[in-house]
Amino acid sequence: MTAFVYTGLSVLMIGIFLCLRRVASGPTAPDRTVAIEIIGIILVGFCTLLSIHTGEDFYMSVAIGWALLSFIGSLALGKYLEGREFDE
Amino acid sequence: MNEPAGLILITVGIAYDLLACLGVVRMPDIYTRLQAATKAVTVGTTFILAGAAIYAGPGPLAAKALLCLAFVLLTNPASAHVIARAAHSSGIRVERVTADGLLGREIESELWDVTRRSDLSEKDRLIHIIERCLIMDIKEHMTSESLFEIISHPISRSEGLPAWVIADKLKKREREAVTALKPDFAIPHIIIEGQGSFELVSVRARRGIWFSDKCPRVTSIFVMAGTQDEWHFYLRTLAALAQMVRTEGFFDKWSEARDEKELRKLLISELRKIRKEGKGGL
Repeated sequence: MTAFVYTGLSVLMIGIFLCLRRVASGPTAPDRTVAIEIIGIILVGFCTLLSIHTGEDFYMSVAIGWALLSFIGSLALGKYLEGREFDE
Repeated sequence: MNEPAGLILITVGIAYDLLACLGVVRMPDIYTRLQAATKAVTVGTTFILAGAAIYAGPGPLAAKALLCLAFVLLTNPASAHVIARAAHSSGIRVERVTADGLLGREIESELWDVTRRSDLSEKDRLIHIIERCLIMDIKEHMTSESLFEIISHPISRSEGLPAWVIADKLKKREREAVTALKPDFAIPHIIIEGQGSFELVSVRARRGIWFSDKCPRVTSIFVMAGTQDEWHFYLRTLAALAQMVRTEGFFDKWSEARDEKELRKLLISELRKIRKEGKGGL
């Protein structure tokens, strides 16, 4: 079980690093926003894995909070970016 | 408590999450990235949460996992939609179409075709064409054939065809049927080779142009040269011009205009008026 959780966590870490690459390279602001949103959702999965590993439901509360924040964050970013020109 | 089922669900979920991240890195533009990322992550994280709920069995952990699952399932598509909308409204374009049949052709040009064909942009297109078109002010009295000779030069320059071809086509068209619709209004038109081009030359003849014995002094002539695929636009232009010359006092204003600049202004303002009234072809 421990090996399974650690493998899962490292695969998710690889995914997060791939998304960070997209955050770094852009090229436009929505690209970055998408990547950050994806990182948030993957972190929810990350917390879930940790919570079944430790058997504590505390990590699930973190996951719920994170999902909420990530949703509100991308809504705010989406509204903020709407109608702006960004050709970086 | 059903451990194998839960673990299988979690494995599938992790695989989906990884695929989503690959999609974010590999896809060519924002829209495809969004579609790869959001769909896969929604499924992926949902599966992880469902797997955790099944793995842990009834209890606070499963309850929170299911709560989180419902939340992710509801909010993730919504936020993806908001981002796509923001990207679209700020003018980020679709990169290219990856379907085999469309490879090598930019989707932008196709979109442009679509909007060009649509009713709305055609209205503006005619005015746009008038804003740039050649307007000639001819003082002598001449026959339609010699007028065509003169006009064929500017058209041939912008269309890349020899001038005599255009003059011949115009003369042939004129022999087939007289293009003077009214004693003071004529619309000679030809179809030229090629795709997607349309030329309009407006002529004001102070002493008139001889078209036929019935129409010996035509004062306003609109020569159109368009390719076959612009036939639709040609008909609309024709309808708009016919509507324009029907408005009261048009020919008085047409003959009173001092120079090419005023003629152009007159054409544009008359066409705008027609457009506002919403009558006729445009």
